[in-house]
Amino acid sequence: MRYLILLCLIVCGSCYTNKWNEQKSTVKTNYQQKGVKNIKELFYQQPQQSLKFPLLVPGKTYQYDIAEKSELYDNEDKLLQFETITFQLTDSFDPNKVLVDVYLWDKNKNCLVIKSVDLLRITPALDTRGEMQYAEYLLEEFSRFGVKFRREHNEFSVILRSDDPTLKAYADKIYRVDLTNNCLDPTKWEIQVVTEEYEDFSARLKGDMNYNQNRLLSHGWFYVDKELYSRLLTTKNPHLHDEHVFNYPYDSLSNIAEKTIIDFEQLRQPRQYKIMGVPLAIGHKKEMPLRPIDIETGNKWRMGLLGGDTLLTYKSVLEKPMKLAQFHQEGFYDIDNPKVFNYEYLKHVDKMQMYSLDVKGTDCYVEIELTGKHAPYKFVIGNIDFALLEEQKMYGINVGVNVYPKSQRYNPQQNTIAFAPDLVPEDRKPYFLMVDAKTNAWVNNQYKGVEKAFLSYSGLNKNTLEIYLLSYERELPLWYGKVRLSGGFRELVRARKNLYAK
Amino acid sequence: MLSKILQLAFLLLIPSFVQAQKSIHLKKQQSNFLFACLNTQVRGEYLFQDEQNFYLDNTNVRNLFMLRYEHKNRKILQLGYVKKFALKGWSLLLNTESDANIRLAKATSMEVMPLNLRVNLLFNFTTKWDRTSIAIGSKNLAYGHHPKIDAFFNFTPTLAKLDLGFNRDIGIFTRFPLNEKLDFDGSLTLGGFLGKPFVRAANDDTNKGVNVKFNPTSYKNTFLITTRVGSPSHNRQELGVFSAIGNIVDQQNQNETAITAKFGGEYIYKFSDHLLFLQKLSIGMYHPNSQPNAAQFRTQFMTSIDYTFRGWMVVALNNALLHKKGKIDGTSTTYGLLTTTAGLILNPNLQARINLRRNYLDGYANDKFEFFFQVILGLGQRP
Repeated sequence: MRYLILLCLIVCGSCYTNKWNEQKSTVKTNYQQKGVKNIKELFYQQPQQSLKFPLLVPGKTYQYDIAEKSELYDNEDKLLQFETITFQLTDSFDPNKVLVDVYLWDKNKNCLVIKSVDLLRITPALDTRGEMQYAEYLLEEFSRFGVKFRREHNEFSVILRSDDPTLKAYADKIYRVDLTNNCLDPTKWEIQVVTEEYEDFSARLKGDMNYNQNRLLSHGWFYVDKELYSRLLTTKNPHLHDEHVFNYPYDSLSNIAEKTIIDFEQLRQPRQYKIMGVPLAIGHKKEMPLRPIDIETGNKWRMGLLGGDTLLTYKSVLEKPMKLAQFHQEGFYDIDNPKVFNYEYLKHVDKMQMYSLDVKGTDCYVEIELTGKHAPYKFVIGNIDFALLEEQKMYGINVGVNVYPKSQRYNPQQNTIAFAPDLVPEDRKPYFLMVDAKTNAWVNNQYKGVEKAFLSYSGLNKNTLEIYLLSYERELPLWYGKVRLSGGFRELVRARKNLYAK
Repeated sequence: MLSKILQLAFLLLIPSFVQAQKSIHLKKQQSNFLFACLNTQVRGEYLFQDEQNFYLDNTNVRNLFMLRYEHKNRKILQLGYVKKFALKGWSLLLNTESDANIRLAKATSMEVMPLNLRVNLLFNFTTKWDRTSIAIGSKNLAYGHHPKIDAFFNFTPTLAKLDLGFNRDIGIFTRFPLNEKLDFDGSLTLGGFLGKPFVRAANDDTNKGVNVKFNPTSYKNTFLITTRVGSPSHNRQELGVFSAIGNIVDQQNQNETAITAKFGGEYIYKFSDHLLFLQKLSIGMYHPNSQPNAAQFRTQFMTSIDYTFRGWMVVALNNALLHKKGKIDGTSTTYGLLTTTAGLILNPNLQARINLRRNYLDGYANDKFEFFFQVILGLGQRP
């Protein structure tokens, strides 16, 4: 009997998973709840309480799509090639969430359904106060982030209009659906339907690269209703420094933002002490060969977005103007009309300084400053919990303050010592900013061609930290640094893992 | 019977668990890791009742050489997610222990020097559900949580070891969240099957030289079920209740078995990454099958404090009290054991420690105070 009770406990208990829709909301004030009501009003005015948007589909001839393509991609019969997306308001009474059912339709009326999606989940949040919001808004609005829905957790379903076994087989292979906002343009959202295909997986497993089994089945952009988006933004961001912040043209806003002095004291707790480290390598100083470092840079490298110039070193990439493929207004890469960046300023970035922050309960929150004696700019990456860094996986951080990742699970992991970006405590929000080395004035990193940083340990011992800076559109790594942490700090990180993560 | 329970447990577990996904390096990282560790000690003791009351020796000291191989499954890394249930990795731990008995003060020759080899193999599985894992093999029992600041090098006793006689066993282990605030830890194991080393080499009989003997431990229908329900380990304060029920290898006589049923509670407080304060209380019965008259009620209380100063110095203090009361004759005995350790981390792979151990209260034949000087040298990669 006791075994039975034990096993029942195991089975019942294991059913627990964290659900976003059951989470305490990020909407906290009455003002915001009124905002949610206003958004719902917008839906009530539509037939069937639905908003419908056509999808702009790149098609087979577009060779710079974001991943490998499925055999069925852009097939002649347009099966599972979704052309329309519909947001239909649900009957939920939750006053803190805007829950809609998302329907993707193809020409043949096959449909992919994602139930109860909170639109506020993919609305940018401004975490700063005062004038720093100008810069943060730019960074949030013009770099995309999104949520993914997972088949193995039944977060979406596919309804087919025919019994065709081939079609069913492909539908069964769909394992991820990504809904992403603001692909380089506010209100331009993106949907990706991804299958897992294993034909050559064994060969890939034996190879040296971690290319996975993802294949893009359907991909498209759509413009969400501007009024809807505006209401989402104001609802999620009730503490605006300037209520017109959403209305400035990009360049004007950038000019205003670049006059802002970044007050790092507002973004983090005070520095406690400097973490001693021994610099082991600076990529451009050692003339190290430049190679793609993750699947995204790998794919973009293979697609030739660098204009075929792949014999680069960390030194050579800083010595001549670098041509990087850019997006068209519609979202397509245009290799014939590249953006040109001069990365010479990165030559002077040759110092990696680390400081432990006075965060309650740990010494392992760190601010990293990448700078140099003659560097005109510095890069500051802060509120990074070193106990969360790994050696097999890289911790990626986009420029901004608590910028949501490019793709995160809709139903996030339960908060542990790691936090879902929407639920991270005020004093632990990670940030990555490029500022003037002397004045701390914000520098628009998009103009300087830097977009992301990666942090990773180089081995299981986790005593050597590797830092990468990535280019515009994350097409290639630009800067690399490697530093050995002091033994004492390394042991503190180890102690934190022993105490809180085992 | 046991195999049926294991089968049933395994079948029920498989469809129940699941996981998450992350981005990885494009170039595959190292996935095989080797770590070697040498732990050697010199011991002294002070016997309060003895005329010649000071000895420097190695009695009861485990000099240990450990080799740990760890493999991370590349398949799961390449896939980037777990569909239902997948092997995350496995590890092999080879322990060579020497219970050297070299009495420097008294003896003139080496009397006994047994060398024991223990083999511990563990397969770690992950599931599609967050924070839900299963392990099969040899692992520490889920008898409460016992975090240590310096887990790899800190050899202070745990309540499991004192209460059950062992803290590592072969079986199936699981952990998963029951809800946002409670975790479940459980294990179904072979009840102390690992009590004897796999191979033993000793010059027990000096005329025949060193004698190497395999120990094909016979299975005597022992089993142990441990459970723990309580706060998850990422909390600063942990509260939990735990239990252990089973028919285990007898602590006193390894050839016999005993029925045990223990229940307990624990409170753990962590101050930052520096200080750990742990208290555990267990009560229950212990019933040796070969000596029904020796059945006892047992109460055990343990307090432990771990502290690290900026990562280069660690100090731990551990006090355990055991009260035994005979079920038949009603006689009571109380044991007290105080252990302290202070370690200097000269570098992440080299530590020097001083350990002090004091037996007190009426349960011990010899009231004594022991000290150990310990050097630990590690080589290779460890988490």
